[in-house]
Amino acid sequence: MYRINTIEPLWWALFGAGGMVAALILPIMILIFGVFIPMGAPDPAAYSAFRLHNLLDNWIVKLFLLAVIALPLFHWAHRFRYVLFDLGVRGARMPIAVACYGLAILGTILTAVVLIKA
Amino acid sequence: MPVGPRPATVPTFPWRTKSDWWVKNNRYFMYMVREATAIFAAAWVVVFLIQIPMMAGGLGDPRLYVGWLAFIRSPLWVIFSLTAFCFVMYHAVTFLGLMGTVMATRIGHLRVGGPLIVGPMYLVWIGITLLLILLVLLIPQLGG
Repeated sequence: MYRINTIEPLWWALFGAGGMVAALILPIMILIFGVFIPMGAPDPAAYSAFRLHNLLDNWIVKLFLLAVIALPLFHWAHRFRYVLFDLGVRGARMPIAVACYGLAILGTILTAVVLIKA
Repeated sequence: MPVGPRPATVPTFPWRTKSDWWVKNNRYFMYMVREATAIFAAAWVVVFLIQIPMMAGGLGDPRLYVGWLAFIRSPLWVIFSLTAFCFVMYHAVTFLGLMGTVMATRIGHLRVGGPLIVGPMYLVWIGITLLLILLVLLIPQLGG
């Protein structure tokens, strides 16, 4: 009997989307929030408490951040699952898959909660 | 045909490759580095997520804002970000380079792949980068 894995395409799609976000958006996000602003951005008004509050109150910003944070988690989950396989972990396939994707799903829910409350 | 009771365990091919198969070959090593980029990407967004309540609540409670500034100005966060940036850039360059193969298509008799796909992808990348610098850093009036 040939069994079609019906859930795998979903994980792969989320993995691909996460890869796209990690490639196109994350590098500049990391530079802006991890280097430019900490080292002193040209205009301090860019990261005033007032502006950060207003930006994070905006639904477009919330949705953007949900994608930027949640999708790389699924990208990690899929990669990490197969890295373990590559490293010779041959057993416990289902528990590993559940743990990886489960963490990504948990992270997504947490992100959504944080952004809704923000 | 062998006759008799079924063996208790079904013989399978044992896993013979050693776990360090990727260490000595440079290409395999870089493959594993590429796999590791996903860890840095995920770790960075998680630490960024932790900062969001501080960033959003800073207006109501200035202590949160001061705490956030102290957090991002610690050398640890900057060094971690720079490290994550290097890994994510390796992911980005290899990811965009792949697109010429995986997104290759045909328009009539013309095969559209390779540089014809990778080139525009780099333009999109540069566009997103400049747009985010503009929106976040250079136009503080936006949302300010």
